[in-house]
Amino acid sequence: MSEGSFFVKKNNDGCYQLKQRVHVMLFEAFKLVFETSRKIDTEKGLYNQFSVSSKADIQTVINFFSFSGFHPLVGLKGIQYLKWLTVLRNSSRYGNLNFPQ
Amino acid sequence: MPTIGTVSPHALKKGNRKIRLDKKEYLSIPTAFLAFLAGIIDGDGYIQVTKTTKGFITIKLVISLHLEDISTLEYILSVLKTGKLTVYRDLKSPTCKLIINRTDLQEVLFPLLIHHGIFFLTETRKAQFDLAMFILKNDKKVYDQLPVIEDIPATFELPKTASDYANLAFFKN
Repeated sequence: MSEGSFFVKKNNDGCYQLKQRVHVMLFEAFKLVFETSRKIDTEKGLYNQFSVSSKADIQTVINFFSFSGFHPLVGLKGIQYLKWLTVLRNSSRYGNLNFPQ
Repeated sequence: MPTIGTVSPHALKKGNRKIRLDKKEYLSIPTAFLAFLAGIIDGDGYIQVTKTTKGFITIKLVISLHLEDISTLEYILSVLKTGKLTVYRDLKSPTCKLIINRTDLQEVLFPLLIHHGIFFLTETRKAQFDLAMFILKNDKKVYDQLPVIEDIPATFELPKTASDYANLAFFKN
């Protein structure tokens, strides 16, 4: 699966985002994998974007990348993910989620 | 894990190498890694089929990432043990590329994907893979004799629905 981007907005919302060339079915499948009903955005008719930030959705993202046993994130993306987890751990909104050790 | 088509004798001349008969080492590569690799190729790679100045066909697979992501390509190279890593430092956006040549595609990577039932999920990559497979299987040599894209047979079919995608055994990697 496309590895996506992990970041925290200025308003402290933790965010997981996937963006790629338009592929409606693939992005609907991301919604199924991440068990969310968040709408898929389409930018200029060229790109689809999947984006989640609610506590429940972020927990599902953490479960997917840390607790599911799938191929781990590697390289820079793996480092970005670990940094993202650190910020979320220390935030008042997400701090009580279930994080990996 | 059969080789796709016939390896060119010209390829064997380079570096005095031999056809790979023992592929046990490659079969030990985990399915999860190959699923991850197929996803990287879908997103950041391409299978290039081009015409040489003499009108013949060249095939190679390229994964192109920003230079800051070079550790990902080094990781792929270390597991796959095929391909060549090249760095382009002087571009406006410094880039690194992992290039897998035709022989390695037909002996190793494509047979591995087929063996594990893994395929590309984007239309573009699927079309490129189908074309490359057609050329290799049918030992096509002349670029201008290739059929139109609509007449290239599919090696696999893309899923029809979102849940078909999500339920693919390799999707989540």
